[in-house]
Amino acid sequence: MSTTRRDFIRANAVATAAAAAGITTSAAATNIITSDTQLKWSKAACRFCGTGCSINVATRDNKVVATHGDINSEVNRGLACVKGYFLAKILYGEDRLRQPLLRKKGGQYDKEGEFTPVSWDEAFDVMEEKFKKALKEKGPRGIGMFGSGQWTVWEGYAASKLMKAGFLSNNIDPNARHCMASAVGGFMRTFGIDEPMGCYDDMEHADAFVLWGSNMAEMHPILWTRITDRRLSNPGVKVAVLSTFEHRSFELADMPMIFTPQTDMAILNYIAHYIIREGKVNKDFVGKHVNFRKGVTDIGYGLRPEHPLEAKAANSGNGGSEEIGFDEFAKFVSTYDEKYVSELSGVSPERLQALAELYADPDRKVMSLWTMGVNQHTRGVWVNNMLYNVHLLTGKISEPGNSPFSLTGQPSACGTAREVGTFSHRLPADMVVKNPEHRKIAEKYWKLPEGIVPDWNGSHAVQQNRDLKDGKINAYWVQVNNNVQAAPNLNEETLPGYRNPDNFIVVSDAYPTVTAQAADLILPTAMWVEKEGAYGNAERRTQFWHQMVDAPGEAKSDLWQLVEFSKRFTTDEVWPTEILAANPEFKGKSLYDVLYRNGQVDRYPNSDIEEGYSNHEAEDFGFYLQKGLFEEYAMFGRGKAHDLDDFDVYHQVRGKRWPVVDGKETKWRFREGSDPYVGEGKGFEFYGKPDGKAVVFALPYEPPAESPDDEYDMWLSTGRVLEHWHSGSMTRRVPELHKAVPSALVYMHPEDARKRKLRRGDEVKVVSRRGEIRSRLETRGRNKPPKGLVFVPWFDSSQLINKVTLDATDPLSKETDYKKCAVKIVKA
Amino acid sequence: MRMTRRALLRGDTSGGGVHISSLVVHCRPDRIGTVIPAIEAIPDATVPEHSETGKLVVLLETANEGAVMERISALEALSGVISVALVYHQIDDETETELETGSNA
Amino acid sequence: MKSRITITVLLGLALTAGALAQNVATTRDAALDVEPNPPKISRVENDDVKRKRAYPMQPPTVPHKIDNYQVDTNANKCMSCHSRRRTQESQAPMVSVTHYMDRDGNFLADISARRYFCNQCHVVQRDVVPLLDNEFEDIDELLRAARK
Repeated sequence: MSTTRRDFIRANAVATAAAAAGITTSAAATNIITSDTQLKWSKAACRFCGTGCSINVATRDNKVVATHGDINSEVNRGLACVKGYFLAKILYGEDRLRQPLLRKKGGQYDKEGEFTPVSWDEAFDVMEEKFKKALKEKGPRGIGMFGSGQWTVWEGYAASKLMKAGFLSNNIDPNARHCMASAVGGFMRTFGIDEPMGCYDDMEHADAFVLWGSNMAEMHPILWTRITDRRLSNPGVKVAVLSTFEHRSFELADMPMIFTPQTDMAILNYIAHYIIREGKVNKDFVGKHVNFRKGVTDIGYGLRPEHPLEAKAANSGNGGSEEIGFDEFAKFVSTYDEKYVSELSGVSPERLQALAELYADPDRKVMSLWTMGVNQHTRGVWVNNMLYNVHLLTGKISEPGNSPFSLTGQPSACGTAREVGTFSHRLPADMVVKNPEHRKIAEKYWKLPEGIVPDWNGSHAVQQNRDLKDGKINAYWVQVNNNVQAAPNLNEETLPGYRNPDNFIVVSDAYPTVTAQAADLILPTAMWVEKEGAYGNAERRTQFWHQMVDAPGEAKSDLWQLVEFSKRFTTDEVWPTEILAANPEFKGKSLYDVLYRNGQVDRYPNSDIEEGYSNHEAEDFGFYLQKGLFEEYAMFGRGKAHDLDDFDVYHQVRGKRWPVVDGKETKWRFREGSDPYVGEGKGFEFYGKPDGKAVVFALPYEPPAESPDDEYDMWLSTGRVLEHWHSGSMTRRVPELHKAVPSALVYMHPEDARKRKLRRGDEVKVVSRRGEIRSRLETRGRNKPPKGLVFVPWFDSSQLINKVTLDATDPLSKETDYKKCAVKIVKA
Repeated sequence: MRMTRRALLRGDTSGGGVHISSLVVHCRPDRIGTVIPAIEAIPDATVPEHSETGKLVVLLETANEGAVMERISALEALSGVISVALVYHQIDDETETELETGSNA
Repeated sequence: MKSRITITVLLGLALTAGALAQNVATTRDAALDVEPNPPKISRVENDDVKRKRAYPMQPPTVPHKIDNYQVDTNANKCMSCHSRRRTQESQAPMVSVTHYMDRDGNFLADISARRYFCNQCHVVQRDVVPLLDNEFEDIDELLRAARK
């Protein structure tokens, strides 16, 4: 029998306990940890969802050899989900990209050529030529970048700066547009400042949990352990789960509710009506801290303007509103009574009442949780507003256990995509490109000439694909995401855009995804702990990790790629002559010089890097790039209620929740005593709004863009599964995860199957007006749809369900509704 | 039905393997000198690490999980011990190690 | 991996034209504009044989079917064999003692509620061949290599 394995287990047992006790182990101090069994344990944020678990990573000989949940982390206290436990393997799929691949024919780049290995120099030469050509022919609007909520904080910041302040193009958007844009819209409209006021600690304090369009058991498993703990350890606690189909979260539900797609809006208006009717409005809170407004209606579906539905809308894309009083709001919601809402939603009046009572009961602390069911919704911003309505009417907000909580899907949707300002309309710290004051602040912090940041909203995710198809964007760079698989309406929009002969598409990824397949140049990319990183999770917690191993082959981080590419452009080539004439000191400089060698980003020497860790970007560029970018970025938020702590602190702690003032994190915002930004004697202060008051919005139910009819007679909802993360580009390369859930299935009600003479396991086609896929029918699986709805997960690259989906978006947030369109299911 | 079948399939009743667990024991700093020898006197227990503030790392290697619980009770009963927390528990069983070479040159 | 690309390239060429013919997307069975055959629903491996773990902290995978196992607020079917009280009778492996600790590290008489839903960490394995090899190296292999 081997003693090596047992030694390793012993050593690990001691190291884990020592870490928990805060004792530093040294190999010399113990005879258990020998040089043979010595592993290096470091902390990292998990690579997957927005929960932001802290993970202990063991390395040896430049390899990751083990991963497990970090006992010292407040988020997960030693737990990880099945994906988290297998993190060590995501780096090691045999098809990791190790060198750039360019489509070539006869030794030259050719859009119709075959992928051929090239050097970084050749890759960047061709890329430079294509970007310069597009800039020359179409100006800054002719180029675009599609990034991600999986970018590290400094990657998103460096990318945003390169596009907005270097190429002077706001055509940069993250894939967070597909998942969090409606949440952002909701926050900005109701509170004037982004991100949740509460935190995960609410889960140990709430007496009721209400899930609105969120299958946390699969998508946020570690947060689900906290809710399960609270519910099972405290019998009085209630869990309500609302969804358009039954899923694993129903296993914990005291109040399960299946509603007709889109009618969540009516249910929320009913709850507001019930609270008012039963005299349960918290009048003191509402009087001091709330304004009422009525929103513009009939706002369309974010489709192309020539689409009949869009042409029909009276106020397409209009997010305006007018002030009203409490009485007018009460009258507005009064039509949403039990009878009407029950008929519309399919939920019984008794269930509706019981749900409303959870919110109305002043002695019950309620946490509402939502994700894609609410955000991927043609009225996503509205539903976010309506959720805040019921919490504001009862004053159940900003205190332990009373918490409207918008969960996020990606590890840094908050930390990077939102906070850094990588959206096409945003700048860091919730500022926007349309506001001249905000642009001026950005230019000042960036030490760049006034007027350099463009004043136009760039193209958002769905619009970028339309622009590619229409030939408006000709040079396009995709980083850390798989948008050919993820974007809606693949056949009609995405693929024609990527393969448009006028366009040059660059995809940076660790693995050859279907997006890489549709590209012209593939750049091999370092991932996760192959680079120093920072993510920000859904509770405003910023977490750092070190580079622990080297990337394979010639793979380089997204950050390295962005900064290295900036060396190939001079201000003379890409900036307006009048700005250069007025600011001659910027003439003839490279974008690298003006963006990253500006005396701030290059301020910290490599000697600041913690001993024992490499940093491939810093080694190449000669300065501690990540620290410089972070500290420059942090200037935007300090004193503006987005305060971050010093860079070095984050390498020591398991994250901190912003605003961090005087080293102290903030658990609950907007409440006196908990949030340092709330003035003395105010009680609560929603300081994102000029008068410190949050807004309750009167908004109606409006129908979805596409509903089932005689021909396309089923609803289609898409989503994720526990064992795979997003498009599966990492998890499908882990054998255990692949063997757990090898391919996508069509989940259908057994009676719907019988009606179509279909049996479990039959090959079927899922067909919409836009495309079809072939799959297999499942009538007994973990998802149990009601009659009239099918669920298909989107992780499977062999079954691209987005060939079927509709590119209808929320007209305000521009986020796609992936949860409802009309399909038919036929035998293949 | 399942239980019988599983018992048959496995055909062993010993349980097998070694249970390796680690604990953090918090004791009064002025008692470290007596607590450590007392712990080391408990069967299967060692103290590979400790801090001056009274935090001790205890490693247990026992034949079964019941013994883990017994040792924890024994630790809790020691004079000077304030608290005991199990941090890590791993069963090293032979079915997992038999494939390995075992060379330890 | 190389042979796989060659095969899919040939297959792709037969069905589609242009740049999409060369399939580099290794987890997809066909070119982007072709609909591949969906594989049959696979069976769950049910031989009750324990599998080797990638590292000691990896939660063991489930070596048997769990179809229709009730795990909800009323019952936990998994614990009817794997709980401490039942393992002598069932001869199933007992859940690790760590599962008896609550969030704050206190010991409980029964499994901690935070560990209640077993399938968040422990998953079945289906009878399919992995799409791709994974080059992860087991610590034992690394140690052995180091000694040579």
